[in-house]
Amino acid sequence: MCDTCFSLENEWFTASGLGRVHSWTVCHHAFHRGFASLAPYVLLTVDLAEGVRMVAPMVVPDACRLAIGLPVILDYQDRHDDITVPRFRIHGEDDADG
Amino acid sequence: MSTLRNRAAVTGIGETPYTRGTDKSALRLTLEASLTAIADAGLTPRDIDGIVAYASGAVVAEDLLTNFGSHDFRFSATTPLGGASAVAALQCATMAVSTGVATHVLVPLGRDGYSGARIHRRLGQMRQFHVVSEFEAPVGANAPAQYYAPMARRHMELYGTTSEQFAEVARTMRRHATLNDNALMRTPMTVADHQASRMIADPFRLLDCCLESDGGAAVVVSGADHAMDMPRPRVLLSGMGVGHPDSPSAITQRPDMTRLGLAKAAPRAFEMAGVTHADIDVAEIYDCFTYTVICQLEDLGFCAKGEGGPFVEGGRIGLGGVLPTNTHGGLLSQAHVAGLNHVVELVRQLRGDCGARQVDNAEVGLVTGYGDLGDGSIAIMHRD
Repeated sequence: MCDTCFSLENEWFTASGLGRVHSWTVCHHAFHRGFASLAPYVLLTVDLAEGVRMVAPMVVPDACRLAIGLPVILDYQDRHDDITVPRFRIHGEDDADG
Repeated sequence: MSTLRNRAAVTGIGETPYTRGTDKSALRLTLEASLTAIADAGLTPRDIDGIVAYASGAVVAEDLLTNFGSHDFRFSATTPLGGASAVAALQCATMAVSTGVATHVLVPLGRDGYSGARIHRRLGQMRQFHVVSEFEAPVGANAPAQYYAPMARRHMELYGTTSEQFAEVARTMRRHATLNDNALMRTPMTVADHQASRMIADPFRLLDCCLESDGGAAVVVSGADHAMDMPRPRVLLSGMGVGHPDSPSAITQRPDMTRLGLAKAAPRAFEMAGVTHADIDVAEIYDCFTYTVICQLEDLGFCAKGEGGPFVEGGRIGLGGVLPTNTHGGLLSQAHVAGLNHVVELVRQLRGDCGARQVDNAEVGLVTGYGDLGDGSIAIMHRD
């Protein structure tokens, strides 16, 4: 429901994938064994251009380069045959780690 | 307008020894703490006619009623605010005893959070976490440290708050714990110890994070008039409030993630109590993480948003400082009883029973709860 006008109408649309860093954390300790092999991994909180925020990992975990407002773009990784996960990379850079 | 001000008092307190390792169940720990609190109030279990059980816990009111052999039980409620539940329960209990719905309300909390279901694993079962469970857990945000770290990081980026200021909170709680026989972490800690502890979820190091522990605490809330005739010095509940942050289901969607529900509850509680910040002699502030204390000091109004880091420097929140905080050692160094141990400690301070860690002439104090994804609760108490 819309928290401004309380309308229950909604529609699906394709978001741009563009956003800016709102905050982040570097997860050194994996609290779930499924993420143990990925640690340390960076989790970004991103202000999407469309107005909501989204949490996803950073493709190349490099917290030293992070700052509030840094432009990022959404990317996807096929982790298994049936699991695709969202990730962000710094906008304008072509990360080559797949 | 009628308010809850001074309509109820905390008339009994109890705690078990806190441990990391027990063969006792959460129910057993709850019963032990409850019996201590009920006896402290000069009552027997059958005098308890209301219970506010911990919504996130394993023990429900019916478990206690069965063991108490209760015949005339009148009021049962829960306050589902995670770590803010215990302090919110004081408001709930006050509403019951001030209206005649009940006479003596027990607020119990026991958990085998170290030996049984580890505290950090309970989130997946809490319905208020379903948004983060659906959208954030699948990408690797699976524990409170990971949910709260971005709040702390943004605070650091916006206001220049430092890890050394977090260390000041941890070091102070530890110093207080060394003065408390019933605290788990009693080895003194330096800022260097904090800085050398391993990173968990940056910016949180191990020593920024609270303990997992086993134990129970309980308090009895009675009508203010009844409390006149009860054995312990009367500690009145003078101001209370509960507040939810905007977007309570997800920190990430919040307009300002550095502001908590407490920012809404605190002004109401201060107004109800009719006291100012300068009147507060002692504060017990929910400390699931060091940063949480800094943020709450701001949201309580002891300093402006962004100034909590400098505020905790210079011994200001230690015994002997202007705002002695978490005199029992807190969740960081005493034990994790979801903040009911903070309530017990405030009552003990206002009774003057804290021995080596007693705040001189403690007359007015406050206790806060912080729960789930930013819910806040506060109670201001004063001794008669």
